[in-house]
Amino acid sequence: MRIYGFFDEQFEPPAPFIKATLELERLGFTFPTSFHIDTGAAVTALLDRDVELLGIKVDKLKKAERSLGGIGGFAETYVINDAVIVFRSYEGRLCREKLRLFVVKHDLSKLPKRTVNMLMLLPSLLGRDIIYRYKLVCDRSRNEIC
Amino acid sequence: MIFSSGKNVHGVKMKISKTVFNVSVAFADSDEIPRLLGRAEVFKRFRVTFDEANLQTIFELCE
Repeated sequence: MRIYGFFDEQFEPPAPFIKATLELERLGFTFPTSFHIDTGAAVTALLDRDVELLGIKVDKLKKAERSLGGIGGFAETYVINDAVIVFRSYEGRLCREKLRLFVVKHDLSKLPKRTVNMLMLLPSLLGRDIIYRYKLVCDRSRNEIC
Repeated sequence: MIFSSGKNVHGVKMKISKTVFNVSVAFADSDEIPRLLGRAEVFKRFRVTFDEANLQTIFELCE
């Protein structure tokens, strides 16, 4: 079974991404989105842009035991313990993975406009909690990520 | 995903196995930040496999 991702040419250098559907049953959400495949991220996380786009009310979520940090410093981090991420394999098979999905929400009102603009460009991250359940091959010369 | 302002970026030579190439390296001004291998200049030269089940990360030089 093979699941293919793609390189997003909007980033320099092009960044590895994968399409997936998130099922957040408790919130009544099922939605497709693209995740940046980030071997530097310990966990899979929805970042500000997707949180805003989806209208997720973080005050209804459980706070995570630790905050996640990056651009904009450490941010309030929430967790959805019963999330499911679904990938579609090349053969058409659906691969469902349960995960603790982290939801990161910066207080944008306290950040400089430049930082806010940068944050809102950032995609959600597929972290090592999911990546390590698979073998990941990244071959830019063949434009192949799977 | 890492962005650099550019002011702490320097050109250095990197060697992976027998392959030597030039990379731009951003130097952090804090020892608490771990060393990171980014995509720029590296991933276009190598096919990289992350195989956690076998505890292996493999860099194969692209032809």
